[in-house]
Amino acid sequence: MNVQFKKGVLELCVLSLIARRDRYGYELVEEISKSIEIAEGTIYPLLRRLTKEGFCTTYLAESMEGPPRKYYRLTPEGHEVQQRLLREWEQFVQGVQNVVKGE
Amino acid sequence: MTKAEYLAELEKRLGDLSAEERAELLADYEAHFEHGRASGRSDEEIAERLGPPQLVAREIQYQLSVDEARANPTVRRIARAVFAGVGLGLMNVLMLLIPFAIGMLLLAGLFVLAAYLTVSPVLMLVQDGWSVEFLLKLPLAAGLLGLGLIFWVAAVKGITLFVKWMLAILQSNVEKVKEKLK
Repeated sequence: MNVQFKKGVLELCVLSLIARRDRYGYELVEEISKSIEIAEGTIYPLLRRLTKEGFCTTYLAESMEGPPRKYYRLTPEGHEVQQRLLREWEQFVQGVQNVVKGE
Repeated sequence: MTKAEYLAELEKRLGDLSAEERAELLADYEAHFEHGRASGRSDEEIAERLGPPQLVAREIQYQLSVDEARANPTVRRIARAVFAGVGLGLMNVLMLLIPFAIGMLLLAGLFVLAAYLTVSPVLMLVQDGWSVEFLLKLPLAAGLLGLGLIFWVAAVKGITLFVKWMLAILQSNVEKVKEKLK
């Protein structure tokens, strides 16, 4: 698959997961890896960028099992971006469906 | 690859980053290993799933170069982002190289032809010597010389066009990078 395309989709996936509730890095990676084949190490640079761009903020939380967790929370701007990417994705899928099914 | 080996390899390849940024990222990967261990995975398996540290480092370098180009878009920084992008397979270097190669071949051909036509009267003189035959061919020689000069001018013009063309292609690549910077 086109690398740039996959990157865009990955961004939508990450934003969508954080939109539902705050998540920590490892959890995000696990969740996405269940459904999409990725090099898991590429999620962290993406999270770093999303944070830098102000789409999400981070906070640390201790946990009973395992090391402290760095949680990501979506900002209002992040919600907007997620909505926009989702619309673009749906339009794209619809477009492909139209072509494939010849409607 | 163990956790220590993986982190050492990654750290080695992130030399361009500021100490703070590098420490932050390495902490992310270290935590990732710890979480993986806590859920019963071996270092080997965690490293395998993360992907080679070289790939991860390239990804980070690309992100860094894009950040820099965004903050302060100089030609050098954009070029760095373009090449980092080429390294990741985001941009096709052939899109630049093929037009460059074709343009160079065409120009070289034009110059060779122009040079050949320009010196053709001399070649005729060498072939025929000072003879009636040469004098009879004189109008032809003059024609060829003229044609050669025209080709010469065309070739020089061609260089200007070629440079413009390459700049346009570069520009469109820069636009694509800018698009990705958004």
